Amino acid sequence: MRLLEVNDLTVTLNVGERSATIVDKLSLTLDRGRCLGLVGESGSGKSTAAMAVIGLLGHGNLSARGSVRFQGAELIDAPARTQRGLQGRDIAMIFQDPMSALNPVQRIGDQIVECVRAHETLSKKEAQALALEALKRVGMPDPPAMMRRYPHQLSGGQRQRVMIAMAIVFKPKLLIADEPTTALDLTIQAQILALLKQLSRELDMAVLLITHDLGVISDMADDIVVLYAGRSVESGRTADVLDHPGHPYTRGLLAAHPSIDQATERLNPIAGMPPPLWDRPQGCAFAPRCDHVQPTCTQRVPDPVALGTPGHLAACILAGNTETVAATR
Amino acid sequence: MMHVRRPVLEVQGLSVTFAGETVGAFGKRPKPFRALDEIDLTLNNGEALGLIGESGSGKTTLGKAIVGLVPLSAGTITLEAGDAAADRRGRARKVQMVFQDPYASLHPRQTIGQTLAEPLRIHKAVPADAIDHMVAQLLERVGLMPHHALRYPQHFSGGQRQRIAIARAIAIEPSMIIADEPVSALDVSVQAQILNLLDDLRRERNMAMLFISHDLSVVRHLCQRIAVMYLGRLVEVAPANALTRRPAHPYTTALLSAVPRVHAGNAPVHKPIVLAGDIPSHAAIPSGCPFHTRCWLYDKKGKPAQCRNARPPLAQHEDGRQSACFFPKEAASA
Ligand SMILES: Nc1ncnc2c1ncn2[C@@H]1O[C@H](COP(=O)(O)OP(=O)(O)O)[C@@H](O)[C@H]1O
Ligand SMILES: Nc1ncnc2c1ncn2[C@@H]1O[C@H](COP(=O)(O)OP(=O)(O)O)[C@@H](O)[C@H]1O
Ligand SMILES: [Mg+2]
Ligand SMILES: [Mg+2]
Repeated sequence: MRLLEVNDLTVTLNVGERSATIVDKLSLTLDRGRCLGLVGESGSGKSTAAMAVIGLLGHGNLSARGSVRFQGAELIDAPARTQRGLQGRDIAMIFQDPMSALNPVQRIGDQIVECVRAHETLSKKEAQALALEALKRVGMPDPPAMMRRYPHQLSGGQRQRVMIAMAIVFKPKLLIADEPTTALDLTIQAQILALLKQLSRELDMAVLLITHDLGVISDMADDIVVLYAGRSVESGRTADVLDHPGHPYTRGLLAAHPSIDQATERLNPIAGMPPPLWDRPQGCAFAPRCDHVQPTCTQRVPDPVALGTPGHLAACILAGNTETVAATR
Repeated sequence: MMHVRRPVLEVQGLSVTFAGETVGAFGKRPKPFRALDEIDLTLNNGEALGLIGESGSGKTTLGKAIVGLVPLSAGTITLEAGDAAADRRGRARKVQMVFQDPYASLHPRQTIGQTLAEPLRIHKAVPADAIDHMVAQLLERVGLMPHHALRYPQHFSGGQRQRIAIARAIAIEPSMIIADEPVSALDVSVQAQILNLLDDLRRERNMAMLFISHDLSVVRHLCQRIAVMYLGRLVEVAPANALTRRPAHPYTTALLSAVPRVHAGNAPVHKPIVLAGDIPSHAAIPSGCPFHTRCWLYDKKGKPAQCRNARPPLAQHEDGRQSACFFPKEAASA
């Protein structure tokens, strides 16, 4: 049984009479101890997909369809009680900006303790012991002293460690990390990424890592899903996708960023910009920016095509057909 | 095209002191601190110099000091011939700044045309009846359309707004541009468009560019030289290729190793040097070499007393590099 199995997850935004599809038939699987990278530019639907998985879309104007199975149990349309039982226990989440998730006028220790006791009936002492253990596990210097501090007395990296500590108190099976290092400096990012790897190994914890940085993905993820305008355009083992990208968008992303190890003559930008949510093109959403666009591309959404290696899929009519791609260059 | 190399910017012994901020309700009385400490730097025409360093290291403050937006507490800034500090308008003609946030830097109730016409008018760069034509040309040069002059900033995407900010900066043909994280707020696929535009403009106008970024790959690509900052000080300045291949300061080495790389399947997996701890605060800058508390080379060499006791100066080495480390030859690999 898979730890997490998402099938055709679709999230729509409903405003009055109108509706827009934020996440469109997303499918993915994730097993214990593995890391899946979800990449895409801002607005591609990464956070929305994550919130749908953890059941935190709320009762607003967003609605989810499709299937999200966690350890075999369906979560979509499951009673709120079931979802709450998993949230923070078996499935935990961390975000880009820890400051917005922390209470500025409450001591770190009290916040962790409160969070622990919201999930399990424990004495204050027991909860404090768990909090200390979690802070130790995330490599926080001097945990007892940290318990007494306020969020603003911590650095950005330390705050992210606190968030991770809170997330792993109950040794979750799945950690969803939404751009956990985007706001951090390089050397601090390296620390946090190393920590996430270590925790994943120690706790046999799966990580759904959301980022726009292909370098981070390459370093962390076993598998990858590339999102564009709410749809998966390419997925597979990270090495396969990054070595032999099958979708023009993935290739474009790889070519648009220079390398630190080699001199680059000139950058090859992708023309234009991602389509706005309310104005997504017919057919392949990438077609208006694609160098290889064919008449059929703008008519229907391309099906995923299986490429050379198992599990490697690209949603492009030219995928796998290198000659055609070369000819239309 | 051949250009004579001449310095456009000379910074000597520049220091900037801030009053310091009170931290929270429990903060002690703020102590003044040096955000920039004795910076020496030159920049030639047509040259792009990359400025890297972690947040709070003083990159933006250096940029603002050069354009005259922060008062200096010591040192001099010379722009081309003559001391520009004398006259703000004169300085603006020579150096313009592009900021990270294109949303905050454009006036929401001014059309793009008004925004671009303003510097042309103030500096009498072109005759009044030629301003509209010039605005149209500027818009086309940065990849927009002349009719965009009639629109307001909110009609544009982040990338387009950054194009507008760039058009405004080059309107009066400054000899130097300071670009402070100009693409950090943009999507990856749009970043490359803006970077190519900046690179093209620098070449065709032979402008100098101070390019501030935390993205080392982008800096390496765009700049001929790179300066690395740590806690308000320059710790290494060197040609981009040399600095990325063989850094002469252990902090540079650590930064380079921390860049997440897209590695091909058969390439050796790269192992970053994970530095211990956080960047110290300005209020508690370590004695001796400010980096020694996090330095892997200091540990590797058995914690030499020299590093704790004396501050290494930014020394000139052969091959035109400068590094503020007592052991520059051992700094390249951990
Ligand atoms: N509650 C909401 N109301 C309106 N629009 C939303 C809501 N949630 C997400 N969106 C829109 O959905 C798109 C995808 O957002 P998001 O999932 O945050 O993308 P990402 O995390 O990839 O940047 C964006 O255009 C965003 O503005
Ligand atoms: N106007 C100011 N008053 C007081 N402190 C400031 C001011 N501007 C910047 N600082 C402080 O100076 C230091 C350097 O800041 P900055 O130049 O913005 O760094 P960077 O751009 O490298 O992130 C930081 O500690 C910052 O908080
Ligand atoms: Mg997001
Ligand atoms: Mg800055």
